[in-house]
Order: sequence, then C-alpha cells, then structure tokens
Amino acid sequence: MANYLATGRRRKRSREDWIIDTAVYLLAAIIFAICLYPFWLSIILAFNEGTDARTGGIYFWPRKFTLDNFKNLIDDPAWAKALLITFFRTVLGTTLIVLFTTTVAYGLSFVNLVGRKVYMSVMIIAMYFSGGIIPYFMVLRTLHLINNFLVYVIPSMLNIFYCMVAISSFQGIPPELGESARLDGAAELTIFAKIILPISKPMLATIAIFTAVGQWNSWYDCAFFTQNKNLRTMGYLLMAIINKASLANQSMDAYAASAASSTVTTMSVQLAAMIVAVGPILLIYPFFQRYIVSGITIGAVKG
Amino acid sequence: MAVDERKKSVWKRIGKQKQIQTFVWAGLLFLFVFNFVPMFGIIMAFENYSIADGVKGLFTSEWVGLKYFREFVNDYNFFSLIRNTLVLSLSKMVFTLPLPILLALIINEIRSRLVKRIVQTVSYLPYFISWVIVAGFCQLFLKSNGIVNNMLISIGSIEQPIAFMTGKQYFLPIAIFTACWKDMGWWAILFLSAIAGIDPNLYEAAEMDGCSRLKRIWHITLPGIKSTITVVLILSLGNLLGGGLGGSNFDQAWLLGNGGNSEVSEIIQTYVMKIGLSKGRYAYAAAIGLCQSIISVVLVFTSNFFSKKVSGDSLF
Amino acid sequence: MKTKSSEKRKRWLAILLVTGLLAGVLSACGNGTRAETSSAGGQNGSASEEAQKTEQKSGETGGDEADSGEVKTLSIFIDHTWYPVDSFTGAIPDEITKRTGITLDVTVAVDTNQLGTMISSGELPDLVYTQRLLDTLSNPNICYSYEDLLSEYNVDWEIPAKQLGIARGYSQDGKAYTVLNMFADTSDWENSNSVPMVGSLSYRRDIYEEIGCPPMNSLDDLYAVMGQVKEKHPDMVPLQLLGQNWNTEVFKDLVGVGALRYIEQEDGSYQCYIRDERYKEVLLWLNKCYASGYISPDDQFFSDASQGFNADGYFFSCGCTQNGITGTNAELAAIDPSYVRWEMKPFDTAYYGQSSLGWSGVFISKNCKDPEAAIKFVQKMFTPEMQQLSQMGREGIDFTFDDKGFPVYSDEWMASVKADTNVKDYNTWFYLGGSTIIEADGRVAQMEEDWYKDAYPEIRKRYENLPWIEAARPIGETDEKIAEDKVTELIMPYEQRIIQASSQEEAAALYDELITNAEKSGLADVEAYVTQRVAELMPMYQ
Repeated sequence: MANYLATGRRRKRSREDWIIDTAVYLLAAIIFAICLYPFWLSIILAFNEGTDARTGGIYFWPRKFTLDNFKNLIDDPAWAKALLITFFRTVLGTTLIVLFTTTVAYGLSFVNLVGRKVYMSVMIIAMYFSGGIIPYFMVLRTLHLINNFLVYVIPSMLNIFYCMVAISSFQGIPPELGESARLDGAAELTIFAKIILPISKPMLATIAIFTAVGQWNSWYDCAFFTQNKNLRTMGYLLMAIINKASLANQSMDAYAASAASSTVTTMSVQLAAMIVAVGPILLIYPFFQRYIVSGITIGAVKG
Repeated sequence: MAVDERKKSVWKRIGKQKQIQTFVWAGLLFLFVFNFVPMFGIIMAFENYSIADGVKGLFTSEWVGLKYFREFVNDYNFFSLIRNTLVLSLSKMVFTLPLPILLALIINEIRSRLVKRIVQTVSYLPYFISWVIVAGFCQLFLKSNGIVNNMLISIGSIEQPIAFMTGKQYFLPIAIFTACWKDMGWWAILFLSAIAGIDPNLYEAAEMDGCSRLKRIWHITLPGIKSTITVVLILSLGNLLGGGLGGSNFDQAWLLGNGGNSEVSEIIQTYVMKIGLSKGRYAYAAAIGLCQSIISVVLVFTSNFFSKKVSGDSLF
Repeated sequence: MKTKSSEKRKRWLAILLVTGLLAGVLSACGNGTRAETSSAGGQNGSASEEAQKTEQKSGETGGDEADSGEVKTLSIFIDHTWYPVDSFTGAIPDEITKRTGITLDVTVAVDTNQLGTMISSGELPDLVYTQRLLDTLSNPNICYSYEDLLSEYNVDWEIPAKQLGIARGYSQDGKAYTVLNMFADTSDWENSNSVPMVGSLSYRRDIYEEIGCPPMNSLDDLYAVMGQVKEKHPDMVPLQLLGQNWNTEVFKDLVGVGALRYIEQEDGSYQCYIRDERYKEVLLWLNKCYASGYISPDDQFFSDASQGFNADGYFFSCGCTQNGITGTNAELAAIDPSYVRWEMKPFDTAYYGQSSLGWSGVFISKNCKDPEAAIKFVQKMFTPEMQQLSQMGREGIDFTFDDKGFPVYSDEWMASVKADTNVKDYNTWFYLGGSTIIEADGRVAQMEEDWYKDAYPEIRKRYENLPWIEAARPIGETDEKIAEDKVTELIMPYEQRIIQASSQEEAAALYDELITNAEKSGLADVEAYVTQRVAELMPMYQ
C-alpha cells in the first residue's frame, strides 16, 4: 500500500533503506527519461515544420516553429461537434461499462455461485470467438442501433477482460464485510453499492481510465456503424486525417497529391493529431490517479 | 453463505442466490445478444461466401468444408508464418508481462508522493503514442544517419551505419523493446491498483515484526497481487497469437515489417490482411480467425488448469 | 437472505427504473435511426441539413420544380482512404452544381474494410466511387446497370466501346455497372502535348553538369555516374529507391520490359514479367548498387516520399512523369536556386508498355433515391466540358489555353497553390468522369519545359497501352485470382531481399527462390488463364 511508507512514523533509515531508495530513484529516473523524451519529441516535432524536421537534428526544441500542422485540424467546424459527441460518449460509456461490468463481476465473484464454472467458460468463449463484422452489423441493425448515438455505449457495456479483473479484485475483499449487512437483510444490490464499491475505488478508477481512454479514441464503431455526420467522433476524424496524410503505397493520384509542395509532412500532421487527442486525457487522468495511488483508507476496511 | 449450503439441492441454492444470479444472467443475456447471436457468422469460414450475397448468403452459400484451412496450410510459407508468429508472441510475452509488475513495485517503493505521481504519469505517456508514430520514431532513431547510428559511429564501435530497420536480425529486439516501452506504464496502472487494494495493516504488522522492505515486497505485496497477476497472465496467454497484453503483433509487423526483414516479420495476421481481407475475402479471413480463436481458448483453459494445479489461483 | 417489505419496495422501484430506462433507450433508437436518414422530420439535424432534406423531398415529389433549377443531393461513398477532400465544396464543385443541378453529400472511407461491410449489409449510399471490388459491385442485386438506366430514362450517352467492354468484363450478366474514368488509348496520347503517367528517373541536373555530363544510356552508365557522384558528394545518396513507389518499374521500363504484368512471348503465350531475364538483370544491378553504398537501406523502410531524406539528399530519384518532380523542384529551389531536377532521357532500349483500363468508377446503388438524376449526372461528368471543369477549373476565370493547348492558370489560382489552399478554394478532386489526358496536360503545364524536354517526346514515342492484358487478369474469388494475389504479395519482399543480398550469388539464388515460390503458388495456372483470356478478349480491343 502506498501510504505505509509516506505516513510511516519517523524512524531511522536502515542501510537497506538507503540501498533500496537509491536503486528505486535511479530506476525511476531512467524510466522517467525513457518514457518522457519521445513524448516531448512528439510535441516539438508537431510544432516544427515537417520538411525541416525531416533533416533531423531536432532534439530538445523546435527549430522552425509553426502551427501549420495544427491548422488542418482546427480549421474544420466538424471538430467542435465531434468533441461534444466524444465527450458524451466517454462519460456515458465509461459510467455504463464500469457499473454493468462490475455488477456482473460481483455476481461471478461468489465462489459458490451455482453454475459458475459454466458461466465463466461462456465468458471466455465470448471473449475469443466472434462471427465477424457482418452478422454483428445485422444484430445492431435489428436493435436499431445503426446511426444511433447509443451504438457507442450499449454494445460495449460488458467488457470481459475488465470483468475478470474486477472478479479477482472482489474476491480479495474479506467476505465478512458483506455478511453482517446480509444478515441484517440488506439486498445484494445495496451491499454491492454501499459496501463493496466504495472500498474498490482503485479498481474502479483503473477500469474507468482504461475504458475512458478506449472510448475517447474509438473510431471503428463510428466508421462502420454510423453514416450520420452529426455522430462523427474525434477518433474518426483523427483517423481520417492520418489517412489523408499518409498517402503511402497508393495509386498514382495519391502520389500526385503528395507531390504538392507543402511543409506539412505525414509525420508532422500525425503528431499534431495525436497531441490534440491525448491532451484532454492527460488533463483528466490525475483525478483518477488519486484513487489508484492513494488506495483504500484504513477506515473503510475497519468500518 | 455457510459451507453447509453446498449440501442443499441445486434449486434451493439458486433460490437463495437469486439476486446475484440475476446480476450474472443480465451479463449472459448481454453476451447472448452481442456476442453469441453474431457468432453464427463463423459458418462463413466453411462456405464459398461472397459479400455480394449479404447475410442471406451465410445460409445459402455453397458449403466448401475445410477449403480455406487447406489453402492456408498448403501455402508455401505456412511454416514460416507460424514460426514467426510464435517467436514474436512468445518473446514479447516473456518481457511484457513481468516489466509492468516490476514497474508497479518500483513506483510503489518511491517515498515521495510527488515523485511517485510524476513517475507514474510519465511512465504511461508512451501508451498514447499510436503505433504509426512509434514506427516513425524508430526510423528517426535508427535510420542510417539517425541518433543511434551517429552515436555508435562517434564512439567508434562501428564504422558503417547499421541497417536496423531492414536487417532481419534487428526486427525482434526492436519489436520487444517498443512493446515494453509503449505498454509498460499503462499495464502497471492495473498492478498498482491491485497493490493499493492490499490491507495496510499487513505492512504495519510485518514492520513491527522487523521484516525488511525486500521481504515485505516478497511476502506481502507480491502475494497480495498474485491473483491479479494470474488473471492477467492467463488472459494474455489467451491472446498469445495477437501479442499478449497489448495485442500489438499486427501493428508491429505491419508497420515495422518490410521486404528486408520479411523473413521474420511476416506473421499470420499481416499475411491474412494482405491476401484475404484487403481483397474482400471475408470467408478466408474468417477461417484463419477461427483457428486463432480455437488456439486462444485452448490456451486459456490449459493455462487456467495448470495455474490452479500449481498455484491454486485461477480465473475460474 | 430474508426479504422485508421495504426491501421489496426498493426492488420493485429498481425494476421499474430499469424498465423505464430501457423503454426510453429503445424509443430513442426508433426515433434516431430512420428519421435522420430518410425523412425530412429529423429533429437533431443542423439547419443546413434540414434545408437539404426539404430540397430532396420536393425534388423527389415535384418533377416540375426540378426543372426550375432545384438542386438535388446525392450521397456518395468515396472508397479512397487517402482522399484529400471530404466535402463537395469549393469553386469547382459549386460550378458543377450550377451546371448539373446535383450536389454531393460525401463520405470518405477511413478503413478499407468499410465498403465490404456496406455491400454485405445493404447499407450503400446513392453512389459509390471506387477502384476496388468492381466485380462485387457489378451485380444486379447491388447496383443499377448503366445500360438499363440509360435506356429507361432515355439518356443520350454513347459510351465508347472499349470502356463499355471493360466495364462489362466485371459483371456476370455482361452489363456495364460503371464506367471507369481516366482511360486512354495509345492513339489518344499521340495528339497530346503531355505524357501518360509512367515510371521515370529524374536526376540533379546541376550536379550532372558538374561531373561533365557523362553518357546515361545503360544500367552500367548509370552505375558509373553514381560512382562519380558519390566521389564528389559523399554525403549524398546516389539513388533514391523509396518503398514500393515506382522504383523497379522505372528500370524495367528503361531496359525494355515495360510495366506490363504479363508479357507476350514468341509463341503467343503470356508470361509474368518476373520471369523476364531483363527483370533479373535489373534486380542484380540494384543489388550491385546497394552493395556499393549507392542506395540507402532506410529507403526500403520508408513507404512514401515525405519520409525519406530531404529533396537535396538524392541524385537519381525514381518517380513518375507529369508531376513527380514538380514538388521536389519547389523544395530544391527553396534550398538553393541553382538546384534542379530533370527527367532523364530514356535509354535506347526503353519501352513504356502499360496496360491500363482506367482508374475508378461511380456505381449507382439500388438504394439510390433518384437513379435518373444519378445516371444523368454521371453522363455529364464524362462530357469534355465537365472533364475540363472538374480537373482544370473554369475556363476564362481560372485558366486560359495558350497556343500549344496547355492551360495557363490565373494569378489567384497559382497563389492558392503556393498557399496550399488550392484544394480548399477550388477543389479539383471531383473528376468522377475525369480524363487522364486533361489531367496530364494540367500537370505538365505546371512544369518548366527544361525539366522534361529530353524525356517526354521519347516516352511518348515508346508508349503503348495494351488494355486487354489487364482485362484478362483473373477476377472474383477464383483459384487463379487467389494465386495471382499470392504472387503479388511475394514479389515486393523478394525484390527488397534481392537488392539487400550480401553478394551477387546470393541475390541470384534469391531470385530463383522467388520464381520457385511463385510457381508453388500457382503462377503457371495464372499465366495459362491469362493467355486464354487474352485470346478471347483481344477482338474487342482491335
């Protein structure tokens, strides 16, 4: 647990502490550098002229500063609408997935559940087998989900991978916690909502951030299941931009288009698109992160 | 729920569990609609199916049995595809699973809350960089006048630049490194949340007993997240052919592969994409997909079985 | 688990809530789907869309209104993921609308599997513009045939026999379901000032003069030139060989193989070009260049021109005619005004044989609201006036013709090209019935004559379009088609491996391996099939 070091009583640090701390900080510094640098590089290259960047030698700071790479993205009025749609699908989608997936997981976390083995096998099979996109499309159409905002949130409501993670997390909770409430006659839904969920915050936050990022970036459902331009998501627009920029291995006309003189290159536009997409996630993440690193409070466990 | 319930009849037990059974059945109903109903499409793998026939074609197309499977098995590079896929998957598996756990442990041992947060936040940044961009970075760093070659030349360890991107012996190390770099921090979030779920009293008690930090990690932290590790291990074994945790095999082979390293970088998924899907051959792609699914499920059930035998932990 | 009455109440409440939610969800779905696509009553649409829908409706119901200049909207799916425009806006589309009464609601593919899904689910828009899946779309259950529509609505359009034949070749019932744009015969080029798009080798003229203009008439000459360049400019890459773009095709043309997939043999049979000795010679020569350090290994990894080194980093560059060097020369001039790239005069052995059936076609799907308007629109797009408009802009406003017949663009146009806003302001991308000759003229007009004066007359002389070879290639999901696809996927990686081989012997061995594997994949069957089909198809093209 996180707090046991930070809040620990002041005591003399042993030799072992020194060694471990040094090693940990050293490794952390290496990880910090390796992970941050390419990200930083993305940012400076996105703000640099593409053709200039191609000559290399840009390491820490843009050499020929430009906003051209971002111009493509911001010029389009469809972006505002897409931002709104993406925001709503992320909020609604994440809420639904987290609640539904954990509810199912809660049920499956009871070891003595009748038929548990069968249920789990069914889940595993559902996880790895799929009939392909064509019959899936038909099911969605039968449910009137094609060209409907809900296609973004309903079909993905149960994520089996997160369900498995949640099951293992619920099984780590001492069963006595729910037992007293159960003896008092509380309904399972109440126990789940009032007792189990509050002490599972780290797991909930993790699933939520994983889901939210997936929802935020998703383009596949938009491309395949909607034709309505009012439902375009940001992931879709990004994908379109990346496609437009990467004229690679295409027909003659694509080659022709790439020959048009411009300082914008494939890479620079892709980087700009990526930064626009990632920005909001990075702003929101620290709020989730609080729950993950701080973990459950001692009070909740004892209460 | 007491132990003696086991003795009661199944129906009585279900009656007692009807609330949690409802939760589970809601999930199963959902799976039935969105996963199992569309699964009838699998029959296309055995049919001479053409997309022009629509869904009706699934029921009316000519039955060709195992034709597509035979076509795949008889392909001139069948064995090299299987070998490349397995080598790439297994070698990535060996590195991509332990590293996030290690990272989670390191982050957890950082005393300063601020440093801890910063390192964690930074460590998952690469996750957001798309594979297209990662491939771009690879060339930026590894091309013949790239940063790495320039460095190696200036310290005098090589004279001619190394062709990292097109040499077949470099594909695997690059694939492993980028997979680790990109996904390590992201999956560490999962393990950190599992660590956060461990009862802090355990640590306090251990400290009072005079346990050293390494011992606490070994005896409390690791066992505390063992079940999470098992779950992740089994599920990523299931996705072995797709590339384990991150499932990045296709992206890597597609973007980092080229003629020069095609001997090792051509895998099942990229090949199926090239001669199947991109040519509108849905049935062929479905047949290969089906093989992969079967292998996946067999792997999950086997690894689950062994995990249960060896460690007592299991998915189900 | 006891149940108290309060518990029961709560549970009922929960169930009610869930049912209510579900009902809400379902009713929302019901409203959401069809309303927005088909009727004019959609409530979520923006104002402009509302207006469009009203127009559509009135267009459908009242024929008299259509005559009084009513604009109809047709939806179109463009199956080119890289397409640079995703809306029918700009000066040229506005003019197209003015002349045809049609405006387009455009969707550009973001994934190559999208079209297949749309076909199988029956969710096609009014029009589909594509170069793939032509045989799948040429199906009476999916699309209208042009011939049926032409006779049904009395549209006067005499489709040229060859183009009609090409389109018919894709269908089972022998009808044409599309007409491919950008088709031209060998003879069409004879009267043109420009050249077809073929592979071409360009070189840095300034450096070439610096080394004393040595001869360049064989692969060995080129090798010698590269040696001199490397000596003078050690930092330069003598030969740019980027990814899969044009690279081997350029040399195949130069040594006389041409860009034909199958080549006629003396006995009248057809063989894949990979069996040609001259092709092997090209690959082994490239291997020699690679071994001498004249080709950068990185280039094999880069897939498009914007990823390689900057324009001044290469001496020779594989590209294409028409506009292959326009952009590069702009880049070069920006670096140093004396830098310039010329297209090389072809070897005496050069042969520019191509087999082109055209590029993309418009399909009118069975979902089309107004097939009459659609076929009339397509017909108009194939008229010379509309071809000119869609590809070069408005005559008199955007350009005028000079005495040679090349367009001279207005200052506004050129300014928009420089400012990179041409696509947005004018939009030359809706050449649905485009002509490849007009396109070539427009592009060559943007080049300086010096750049191409050595090369283009020679290329025109040695050019030949043999469309029957392309038409004879297998289609559908036949064994021959599958075999051909496999051979195609073999060639590219093997070319790169041969080029990178550590010795000429290894390169030759790899070449033999390529042929063996192609044989194993069924190349001989494909060749037999092509030979037979050519015999069947030839009369139509003569």
